Amino acid sequence: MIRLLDRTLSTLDYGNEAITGNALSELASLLSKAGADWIEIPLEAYCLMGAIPEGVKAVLRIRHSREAEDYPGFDYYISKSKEAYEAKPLINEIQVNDVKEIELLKRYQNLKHVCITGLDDLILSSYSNEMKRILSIFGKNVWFCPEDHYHCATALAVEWLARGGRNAGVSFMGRGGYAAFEEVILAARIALRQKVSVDLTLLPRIQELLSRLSSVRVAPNKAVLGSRIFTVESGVHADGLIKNPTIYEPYPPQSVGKERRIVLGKHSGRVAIKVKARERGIELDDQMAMMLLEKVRAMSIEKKRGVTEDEFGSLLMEVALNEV
Amino acid sequence: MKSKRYIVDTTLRDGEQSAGIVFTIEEKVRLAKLMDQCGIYQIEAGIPAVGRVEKEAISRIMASKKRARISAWNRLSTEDIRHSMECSPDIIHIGVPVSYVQIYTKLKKNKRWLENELLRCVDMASSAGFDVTVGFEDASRADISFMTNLIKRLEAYRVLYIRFADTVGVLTPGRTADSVKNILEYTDMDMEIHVHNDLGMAVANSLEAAKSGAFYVDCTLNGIGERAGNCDFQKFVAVGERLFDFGIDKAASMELLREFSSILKMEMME
Repeated sequence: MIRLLDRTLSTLDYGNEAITGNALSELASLLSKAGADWIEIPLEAYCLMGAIPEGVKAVLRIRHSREAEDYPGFDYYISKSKEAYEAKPLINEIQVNDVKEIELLKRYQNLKHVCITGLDDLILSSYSNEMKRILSIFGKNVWFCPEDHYHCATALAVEWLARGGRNAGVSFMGRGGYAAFEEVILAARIALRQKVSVDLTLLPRIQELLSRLSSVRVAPNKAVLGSRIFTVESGVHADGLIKNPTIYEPYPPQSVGKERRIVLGKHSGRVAIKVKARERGIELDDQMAMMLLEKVRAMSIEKKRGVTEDEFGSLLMEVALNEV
Repeated sequence: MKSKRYIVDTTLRDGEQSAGIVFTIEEKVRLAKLMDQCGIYQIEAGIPAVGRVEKEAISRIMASKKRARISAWNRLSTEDIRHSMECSPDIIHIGVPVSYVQIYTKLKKNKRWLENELLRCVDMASSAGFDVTVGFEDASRADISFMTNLIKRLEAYRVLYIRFADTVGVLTPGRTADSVKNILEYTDMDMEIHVHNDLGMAVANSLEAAKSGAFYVDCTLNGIGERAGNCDFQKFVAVGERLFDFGIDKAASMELLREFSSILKMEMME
């Protein structure tokens, strides 16, 4: 059983007027429904929210361990303090920037709940052994929150969970330099057969809400979230997808609230041309499809982009009328 | 001393296959020249079977290249390979689907047919004097023993190396390492890794493959490619250089990336 601590709320800029208590509560609820087991809430956010949203298990980020006394009702409290604090369930967050420092972590063995943050360079090492070492020091309930300076935070979080770690820290789209929530959840589902029942169709809503609260720009090919990741032009791929989507899709687009789209251009093939013509009620034989394909490829090369639906309609009419 | 690994850039082939991306002949030639200058070992220049324009681009890249090896991509088809031969590339690359879902559902063939057809295609290109590499498509969902048996047959045909393709982007670093090590243990073939970024792990998976013994690593500029793209050249080299020598000239690679950004004026870059 793996458990994810989502830190997205801690990455927001609370000077932004768009951030309201209601919006934060909605964000926390959506992240929980999409598979976050705990939501990390910074004090600024909690002051705006007023209460922990229903159904959300929350971890309050505090500066000093004694602050926990002022805010009852949280599952855990998290602080960069290195001191043990028995009165409340406190997670001591320890920043580790170099794999060589793992050995030094033994001095914190007395702490009850620990979150190791950082260790970007684990990916350059024999990470399996290093992860075992961390688990042997703190036990399976230690949190690991890898950072992303080496573009491998998602991979480290997934490997951690695959190799006996139970708890990982993430943030939506990897904001703040952590592993990306949506990537870790998908990987957990596909590669580890975990988190299979959470509702990932909520991801676009989370993305949209987050874009209202902060300046979020999502690349069209961003893993899981990008607007074009299920848009297909290549003839080989379109042919495969038409026969059986699992041939070229790692997971169904609908499972993450998206739809597949076949578009036409330089790399299209005959099968996609026939399918697109059929959508318009016209059956093409192989010869006509090849003729039309040549026109589509020529237009795509000339215009240096894909061919639009309208342009395809015009080309289709040209070919169909020539046949009559 | 760091051990050597080689970058195979597939921006002009797999990168261009992303929906809506089209490079002109001049752009392809310009980018290939800059890739060559920055020390990229192999440039996958395109798919000759696409047509006349693509063939012209590949032929011009061949004519102007200095150090890089230029490869042309082909389906498992003698007709495709004939198109490639017309461009006289350094390497003819033949892609062969190896997972059962691809063999039986996409190709609607069987393993025996696949093996015979592959050997026929490889023999055709090899007999004509071309260096040949073979790409195992959807290798991450394929049977390792089937792949190692295929490799053993290919060893007799002087194939340079095998591309292990995570076509649908489902590998994790651990599984990547296991797969690469398994194949290297049971064969004498060198390996190339080709991954997609569907789960956001393309850089880590490529790095893990290189750590496990794959000599050749496929990248694209800005990580463009099918769906969530391929392994991002800039990110991979920045991280990987801590362990390996890729022979990449930093100043030249910055110029390449600047030129690429100015060429790619599409939604992807917004």
